[in-house]
Amino acid sequence: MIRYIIRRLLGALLVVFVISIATFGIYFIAPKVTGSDPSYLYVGRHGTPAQVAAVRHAFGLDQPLVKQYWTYMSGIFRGRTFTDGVSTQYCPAPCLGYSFQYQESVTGLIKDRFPVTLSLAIGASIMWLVGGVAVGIISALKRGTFIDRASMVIALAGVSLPVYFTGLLLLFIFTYGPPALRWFPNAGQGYVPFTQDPWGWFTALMLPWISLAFLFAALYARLTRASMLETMGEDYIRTARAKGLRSRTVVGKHALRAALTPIVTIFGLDLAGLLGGAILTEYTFSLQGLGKLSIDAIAKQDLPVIMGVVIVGAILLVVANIVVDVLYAVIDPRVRYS
Amino acid sequence: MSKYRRLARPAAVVGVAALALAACGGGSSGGSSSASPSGASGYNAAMTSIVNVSSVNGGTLKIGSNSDCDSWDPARTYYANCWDMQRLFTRTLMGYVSKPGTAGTAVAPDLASGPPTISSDVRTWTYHLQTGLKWDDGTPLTTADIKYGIERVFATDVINGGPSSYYLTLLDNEKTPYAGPYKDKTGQPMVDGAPSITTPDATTITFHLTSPYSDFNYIMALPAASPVPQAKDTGANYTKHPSATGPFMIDTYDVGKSISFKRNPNWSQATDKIRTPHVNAVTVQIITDPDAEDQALKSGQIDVEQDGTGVQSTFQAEILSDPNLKKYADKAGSGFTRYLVIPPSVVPNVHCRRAIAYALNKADLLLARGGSYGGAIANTMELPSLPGYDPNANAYPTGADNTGDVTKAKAELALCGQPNGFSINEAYVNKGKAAKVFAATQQALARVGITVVSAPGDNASYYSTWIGSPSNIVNHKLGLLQAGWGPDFPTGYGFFSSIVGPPILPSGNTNYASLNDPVINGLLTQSLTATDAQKPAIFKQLDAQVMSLAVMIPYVYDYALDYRAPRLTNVYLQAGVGYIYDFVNLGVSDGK
Repeated sequence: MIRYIIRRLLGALLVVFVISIATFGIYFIAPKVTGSDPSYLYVGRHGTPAQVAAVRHAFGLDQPLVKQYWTYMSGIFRGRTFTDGVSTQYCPAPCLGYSFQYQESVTGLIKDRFPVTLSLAIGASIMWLVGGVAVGIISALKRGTFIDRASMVIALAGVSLPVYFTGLLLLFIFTYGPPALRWFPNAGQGYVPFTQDPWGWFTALMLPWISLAFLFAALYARLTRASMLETMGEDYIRTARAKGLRSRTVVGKHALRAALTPIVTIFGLDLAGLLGGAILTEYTFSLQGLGKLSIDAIAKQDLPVIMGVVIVGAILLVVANIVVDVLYAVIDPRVRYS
Repeated sequence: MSKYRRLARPAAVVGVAALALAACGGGSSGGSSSASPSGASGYNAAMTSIVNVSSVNGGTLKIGSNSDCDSWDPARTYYANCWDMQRLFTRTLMGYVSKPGTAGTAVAPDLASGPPTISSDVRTWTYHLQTGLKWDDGTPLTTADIKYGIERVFATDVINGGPSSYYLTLLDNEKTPYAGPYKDKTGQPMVDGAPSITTPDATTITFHLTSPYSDFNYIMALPAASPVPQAKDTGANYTKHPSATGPFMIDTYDVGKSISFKRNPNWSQATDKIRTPHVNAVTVQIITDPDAEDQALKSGQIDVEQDGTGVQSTFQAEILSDPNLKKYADKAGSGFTRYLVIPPSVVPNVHCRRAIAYALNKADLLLARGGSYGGAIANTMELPSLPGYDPNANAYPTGADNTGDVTKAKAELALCGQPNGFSINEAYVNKGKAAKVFAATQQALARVGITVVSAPGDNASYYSTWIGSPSNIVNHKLGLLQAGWGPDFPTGYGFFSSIVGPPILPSGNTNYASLNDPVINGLLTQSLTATDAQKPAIFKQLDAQVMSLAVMIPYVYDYALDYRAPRLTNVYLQAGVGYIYDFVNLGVSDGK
């Protein structure tokens, strides 16, 4: 098992490396195709070619591509120095560069924005896991009944409605709606840090959690239902029932364990993907998380931020992949790695 | 200043429109105001009067914004609404007067003790600073600070993003350009072999320009001309904590997230005739979703929107259908002309260009830009608030209903030798209103046989290298260019100089038609030494000349339907910054 994990980790490193090269490449190749130059976005309206060149030089964009890539990637391990014109600052390792737009260390920006995305992702994921799995189990057990059909229709709605629609609808009703229904007045206005005000943190995140969870819960409900139905049809379940075990034991101890393996796999990947930024939800509720950071960076072609967010997101995803695969072996004794 | 840079923002999210439609056009333009001399509130009152005049002090002004400003460093910001916010904490030698209507386009002494002494050749401008002025930390403000504030603008690699070109052109020479105080610690900008900015004493400052420039007072009113204390200058990081000379100063600033202002104890009302602050604090909350921001405004969580681009279609529908909401709304504008450029490099025959001008359906184009609350039909390039604007000028009348004069268009087509029409490529950014304008032009020109083909450009590069590059226009045969223009400062020269005359840059060019007409160039030069009384005639003639060439066809002046919270006092739309509520002078009636 240890050797397996080490092999996977090395493979993960390779994947992150390839992703970093691809991102870098896209950033520079795309402008050659569209004819745009990121320096223009920072120069102001009457920028002369000389000013554009000065900005390009300040951002290091006039160096050869390979040198720029090397400077960026080695900075992650060694740290870099930057100047703001007046003084130099040292950006300690891991240094993901300095944002063109914010004059802040990208590592600092990510550290600042990450708790927002983390709170959003974890809260929503707990909601959708518990909610979705519960609904899925009940639907599977009561297959064909009204409850089953109703749940699946609601699940269909959840999957079909875009998260910004659900989010705005919730805001219109529970934050800006009739005074009697303004249960979450501080939603849509940004993130309240947990350390500052735990109750405010909770109420500000409740509506985003529900919007995001609604989307995923639907998927998980359907997935759990299908997985449960398949497992419940297995021979060993019939044997368990024949032995006279209580229904709760049959379902809770025997069926669930097998049915949940695919759920666990997908959950790990979904959660990791969200940790890279739930862009639409963050935008709708003014949550300044990694998703919002990455969208703003793309709009302003802020290369260091784009690279930083992509690398961090990629690392999270590949690590999650490994964790999920290891968990798979833990949950399902039939799986063995060499 | 630029609202156009908002095009670089991510696409707005779909609004949940219970009532569905954007404002339907037609009918009156809703321009009549119900202002009374006492400043009572009414629809559009803030366009012509100060609404809710009150001396109640205290409280916190709550502003909402879709995004953080491009920069809080006064030398690096270019958004119109951010220039308005700069009035909170930044003072300059001259500043826009706090008067409603077009009177707000005038500048008056702010830090200066009086208007400048101007040499007869309009090249030397001497200002005197008021005595006893201080920075927010109590240190005295001197003309050396003003000189330094302008000198750092020359460090264009670090201090980028602002309107630096004016200072680089007027206060420096091409042979030995000044690199800014970070790279050149002993030098300074020079004109004709002598320093261009001289400070004989702590309260006198003289500017020696490279050439006559009658609008120099306006250059001294831009935030980029504000003083900066050298000891506190941190270059690219100055944007995080700029020093203050105005009634407010930055309290907390979370980059990209929120900013709040508190009162500056070292600002004195006696020295400031432009600002009469009433509140104790100002907070700016970033609400990224524009519909959510509108709802926060409607429910009173914020008092005013900083963006200055108006409300979204959902809230607009609510406002227009409810008189109790409408009396707090204003049709703000205009700071922007929307026009189609027909580059002679692609369409050389003036009659072919005139055919296009006659065939346009301006009524449809107004609908595409948002209907009667999103604009007004334009027949001149010049905005109504600028000197020389002629409301009767209409070089290519498009009929009483503004739907186009097909007969005249066809006659012009015959004159240019294309009686059956031709094919032409239209450049635009493929989203939102620009896409609707494309559809409208396509439909209108099809009536005379002109086929308009879509040639969209990428959002981020549209102005820099798609229509901003003369060679790209020729290479892609872009015969119709969608463009909008708002002047950096509200004068005829400020409006025209960048769009109708040299320089013509290889990229980032704003003279999209690459015009180099001697009559126009002559009129522009003439205006640089003209008196204020002479200018209206000059620009009226200039506008007529531009229109006669048929290289720029204006169709709409942009307006925005804004909403002000009922508790706001002393509200008016400041014309100098582009008809946005003057934040520094706002108060709150409940003192909270």
